[in-house]
Amino acid sequence: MARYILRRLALLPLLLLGVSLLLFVITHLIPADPAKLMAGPHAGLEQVAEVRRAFGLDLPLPKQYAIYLGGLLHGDFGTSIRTNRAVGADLREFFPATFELTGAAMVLTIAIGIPLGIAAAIRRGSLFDLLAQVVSLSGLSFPIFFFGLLMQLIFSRWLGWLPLGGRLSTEVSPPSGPTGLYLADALFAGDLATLKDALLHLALPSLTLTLASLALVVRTTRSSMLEVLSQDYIRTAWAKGLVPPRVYLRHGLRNALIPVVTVLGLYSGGLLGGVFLVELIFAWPGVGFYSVDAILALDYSSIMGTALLVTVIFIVVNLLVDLTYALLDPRIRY
Amino acid sequence: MNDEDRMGSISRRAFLKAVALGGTAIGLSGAAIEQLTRTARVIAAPAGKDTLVIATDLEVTTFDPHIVYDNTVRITRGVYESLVTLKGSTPQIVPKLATEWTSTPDAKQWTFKLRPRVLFHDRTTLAADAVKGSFERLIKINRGFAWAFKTVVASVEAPDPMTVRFNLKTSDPAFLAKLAAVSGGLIVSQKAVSEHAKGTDLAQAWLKENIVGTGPYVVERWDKGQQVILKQFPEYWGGWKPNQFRRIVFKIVKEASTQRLMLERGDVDVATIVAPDMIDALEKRPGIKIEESPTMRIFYVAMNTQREPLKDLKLRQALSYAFDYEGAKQAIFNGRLAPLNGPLPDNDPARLSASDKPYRFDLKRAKELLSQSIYPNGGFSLTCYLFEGDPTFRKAAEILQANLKELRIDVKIQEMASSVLLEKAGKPETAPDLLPVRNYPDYADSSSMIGSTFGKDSWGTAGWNFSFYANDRVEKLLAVANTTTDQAKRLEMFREAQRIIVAEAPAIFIGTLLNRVPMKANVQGYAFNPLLGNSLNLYEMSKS
Repeated sequence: MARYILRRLALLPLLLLGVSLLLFVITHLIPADPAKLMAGPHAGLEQVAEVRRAFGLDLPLPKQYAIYLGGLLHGDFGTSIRTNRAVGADLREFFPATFELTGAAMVLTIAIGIPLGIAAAIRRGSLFDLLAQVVSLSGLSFPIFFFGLLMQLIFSRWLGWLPLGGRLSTEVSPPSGPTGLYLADALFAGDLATLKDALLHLALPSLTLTLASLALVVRTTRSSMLEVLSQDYIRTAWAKGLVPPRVYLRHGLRNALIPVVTVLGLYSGGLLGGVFLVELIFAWPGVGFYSVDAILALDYSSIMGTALLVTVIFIVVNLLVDLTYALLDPRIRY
Repeated sequence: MNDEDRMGSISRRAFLKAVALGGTAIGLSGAAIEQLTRTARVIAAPAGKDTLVIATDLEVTTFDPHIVYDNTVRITRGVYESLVTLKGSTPQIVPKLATEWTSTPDAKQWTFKLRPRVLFHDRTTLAADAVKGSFERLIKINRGFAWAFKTVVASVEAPDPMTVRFNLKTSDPAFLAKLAAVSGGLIVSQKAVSEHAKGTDLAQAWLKENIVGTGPYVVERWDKGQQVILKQFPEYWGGWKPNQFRRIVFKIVKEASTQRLMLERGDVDVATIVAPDMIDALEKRPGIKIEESPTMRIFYVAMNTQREPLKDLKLRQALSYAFDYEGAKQAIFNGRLAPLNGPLPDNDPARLSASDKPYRFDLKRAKELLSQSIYPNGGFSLTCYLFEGDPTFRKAAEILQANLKELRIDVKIQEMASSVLLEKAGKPETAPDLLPVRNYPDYADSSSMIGSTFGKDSWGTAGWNFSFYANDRVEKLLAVANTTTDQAKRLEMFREAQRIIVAEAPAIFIGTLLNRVPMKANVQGYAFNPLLGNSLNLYEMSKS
């Protein structure tokens, strides 16, 4: 197992090199000049040239890439032309918000999606099954921003239960803590009022992200469960007189989980994509919120830094998924 | 019992257990919802009378007064001040940190008397060296609005602690207007600059996150990506009245529909990026009002005069007659648009009158002019690029497209990201034939708008001349006007330059924009700065 993990991790730098090269080429292929954008609409040519010089944009492209790679080796993601700060520092500022949101959405997706899928499989063909399918499919069919707006309208505008956006109320100061995750930091500090406020703000964006991806998990769990439940060993379990929860959860679910875990791993990529729109709608100050301005300003370093971060997360999550297979099925060994 | 039946059935004990569990869950969730509702009601409670909450779309990247050149001026205007400013919503220049000023007859030397007893936020007193240091810093950093001073200012002197003198390289009758711009000439404490400078950075790293101006507010908190909270500076030279805001909260909300919902729900007092159709919807809501003010922003379609087919004057004139101005005013702005009879906005003292602009929606005249052009029967196509995501540009382009069909001219509309569009529109060879744009002057002087929109040195993104228009007579008039101190003569020169431009039709002049800001009905004292959309005069505002 350890060798397998090391082998996979050893591939990471190679993958990142490929991704960084691809990103560098794509961002620089865009026929636009970030220095011009940065200097402003009425800036003179001399001002534009000065911005270009200050950020090394006047150097030949291969040299720019070599400098960027050199920096990456030292953990330096470059300097943002827009914020004039180290991209690493910017990402440290904005990433915890994204992590908290996607983490919450992932937990909700698992907590709602898997039980719904199991129940739908057990009650196959029933009204409940139909309802579960309709609800989850509607999540898949509507665009995520539509859901976001709908949630805001219902829960904030009409019912007035939850805040429309942001991470905290105006009067609540962000909890001081090492993680930047407000829930965790507030919990560690024992600050229950901030914890509650952060939870309330997290509710709508995380539910929106969850709804948009629930269908995949519900349907995969349902079909996988149905397949497992028709196996001989399940018949044997019933014949032994085991109680239903034991049959469904211990004998059924554990064997049905592998495809579900695979889907969840892949879904983490989709989640990171969807979170960009959700952050925009809910004024959630995460990496997506940060990237929108970076993309508009053609801030090469910020765009690449964000994309590389997303790549690393995707690779690590899928490594974890592979490792989970071994936990779920002892026959799988690495 | 087969598997199917077994799966569909459940024992009595399990059923009862499920019911009990379900009941408990419902009870708990009911309690939780009630609890949530109670908390949320507190969150939704509107801010008190002493606090103004503004939804803004732009994330702050720096507070440095000599770099900020975007909508962050909404915030920096509350904390930094300039020597002079504009009076309310007018282009009239009034004192701020300077109480009086004089200039030599050739407008090459400007002398300002400073307001006494003005304190910076670090409690140092405003003196001439702070003004001198601030302008030298602005020019040295050479970002943002520095371009307006770098080429003009030869030196800044401080003959005595309360007098500051600008020696200019050339005559500049517009110098005062440049000082009254929304960014650029803001005065920063020199003690702070010298204490926090690292190497040759002139304290740029420090002033990015810290503020030491003379303005009425100071930064209380900056939660990056979320909000900026300002609070009163107790020793502000203007003093404080009880009804003025003690705190100002700028909430960063980039999505227009979310800003709208926040205003409707009472989470914010002012929304700043709401599209025209949303503003119309908001106008009908109780408790919300729309503050409408004239601006110096013009809305027009630039025509590429350097490339066939629009190089042909008759063709450009034909297009100017083929556009349905009144229809566009209604369809795009719901009728809320001021006239535009030439390059200068409706509130500029040198604006043209309606009789100076011959173009009306007249297809017969358009066809006549077309018949005199290089394409007498039409049958060609024109490219029209649009800045992504702006409904006003799209509607204008679609109206033009429909109108030009009558002349057998096909308009191909293409929407693209602003970064890409600006690069393409930078050169006449790659620029589109038609480009709907908005433009505003950097400072309230007629020379700024005419020069940047139709001046020879402003082609493409060097200014905002996307028509790539150039006319020697216009250049000469602008050059002379820029060194003439007699204001009446200057205005006449600007009018003559505009008449030439209008006759040569480098653009379809649609209208002067009105600034419409939706806000809560109890917000009072708002006056729009005509140079910048949705900027707020925080010190003069209050709630009833």
